Amino acid sequence: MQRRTKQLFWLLIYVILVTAPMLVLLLGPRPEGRTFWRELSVALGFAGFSIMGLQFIPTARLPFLGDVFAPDVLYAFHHRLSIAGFLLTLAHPLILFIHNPYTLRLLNVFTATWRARAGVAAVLVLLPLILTSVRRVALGLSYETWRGLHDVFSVAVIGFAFYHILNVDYYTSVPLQRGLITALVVVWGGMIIYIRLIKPWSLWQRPYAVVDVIEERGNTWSLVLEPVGHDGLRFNAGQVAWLSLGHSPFRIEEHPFSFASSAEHPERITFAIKELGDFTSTLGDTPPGTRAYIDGPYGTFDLDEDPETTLILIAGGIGSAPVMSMLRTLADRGEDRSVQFFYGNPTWESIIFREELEALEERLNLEVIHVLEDPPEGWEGPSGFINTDVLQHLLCPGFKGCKYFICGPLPMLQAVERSLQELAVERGQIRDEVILEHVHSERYKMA
Amino acid sequence: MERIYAIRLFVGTVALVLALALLFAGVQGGLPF
Repeated sequence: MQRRTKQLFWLLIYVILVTAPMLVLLLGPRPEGRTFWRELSVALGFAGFSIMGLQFIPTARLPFLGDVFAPDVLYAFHHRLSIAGFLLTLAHPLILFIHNPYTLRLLNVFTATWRARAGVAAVLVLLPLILTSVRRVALGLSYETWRGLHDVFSVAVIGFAFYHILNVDYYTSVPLQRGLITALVVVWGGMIIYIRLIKPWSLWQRPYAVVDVIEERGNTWSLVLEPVGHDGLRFNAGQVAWLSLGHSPFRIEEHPFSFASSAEHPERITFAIKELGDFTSTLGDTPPGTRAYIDGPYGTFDLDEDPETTLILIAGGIGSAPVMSMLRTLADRGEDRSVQFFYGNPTWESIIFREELEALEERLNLEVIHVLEDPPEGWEGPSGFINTDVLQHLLCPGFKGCKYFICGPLPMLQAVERSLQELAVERGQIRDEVILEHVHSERYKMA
Repeated sequence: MERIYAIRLFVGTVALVLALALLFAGVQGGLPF
């Protein structure tokens, strides 16, 4: 099945799951004396409840979704839906209050019923759940603390909402309806057990050991891992994995990185990691023999899709990690595929893998184009950023039919995508994804 | 492109959910006007 077909299939399943409570409500007896607005309020409440419950799925890193949706697509979906789920949930009481102001008495925690209190609590807990997610750094929360809080708040929201629904009992009096709502909550609970227990346990069975830590240019380290007691991990060049280093996979501390090594060697895996934060700045001190666990692979890029087309790789700084995986894979396979690599860096000295890229140019049908922000004296190559001008002058002829891979920080991705679109338009192509259909972009950071 | 796809995915899902909620309210509670 084509990836796009698989994506539509899973999206359809998702929409069915979100709307399942609503659809099942239609099957039961219709309560008497209900108005449109009250029913709309109920429907939005159930939709919000389903969306919030299903939020566990996109971020659970389920193996069957790993090569269907790119991780950053799933995370973007999760982030946006959390806002939508919150607004839908909030619309549920707001419509009730506007339609029938008498229901405002439900907000009085001293006189309200427990079912009403639970409903209010569910909405109130949503506030810190979302606030701590969108303002984590500003609030000074470490990633691990935030993840722990995120779990607690999420379970609390679902628990309060579930109690509220079952005890309001307008629409859950029929066994089928009650059974479905309960089943959904059980599945969501199962997802948490999968994420926190089953998945870490399966990772724990397949440990890796650090065998080398190599200092690269540009404050970057290559972390080399070998499997302990198993054959390693099959991945595609351009995919990512979550790495737990020096501690059990049951601890909530893991970080996403692109594979940098050849996909032809699953028994020796390398991640290239730049010193950017607390965790990454300690990598250089990692002693050989340190245990590691790799959760992956994830990501949808496939080097072997359209193997005859020219490959255009565009990266900035440590965005070269997945590119190195591709080039090393092509070199190991002895492939003669035409490749252009636009590589942006601040200075000549900070070009990560500079010497290896020179060697790869000799071995492969590869042209590396360095773009330097602060070039040395006498530099004849392009300077500044990888922009429309650079691409226009240096992209290979017939660039519209090429396959693209871009990796870098978000502003760079957006600028390069815009440039490619401009080039396509300038050359008479209708503004659409005709060219960008073949562009695969990866962000440095997913969160 | 994947990010643009994610936005479309999100907008489509929310639109569908809202449409179904309105349909549900219309079927169960009658028209509002």
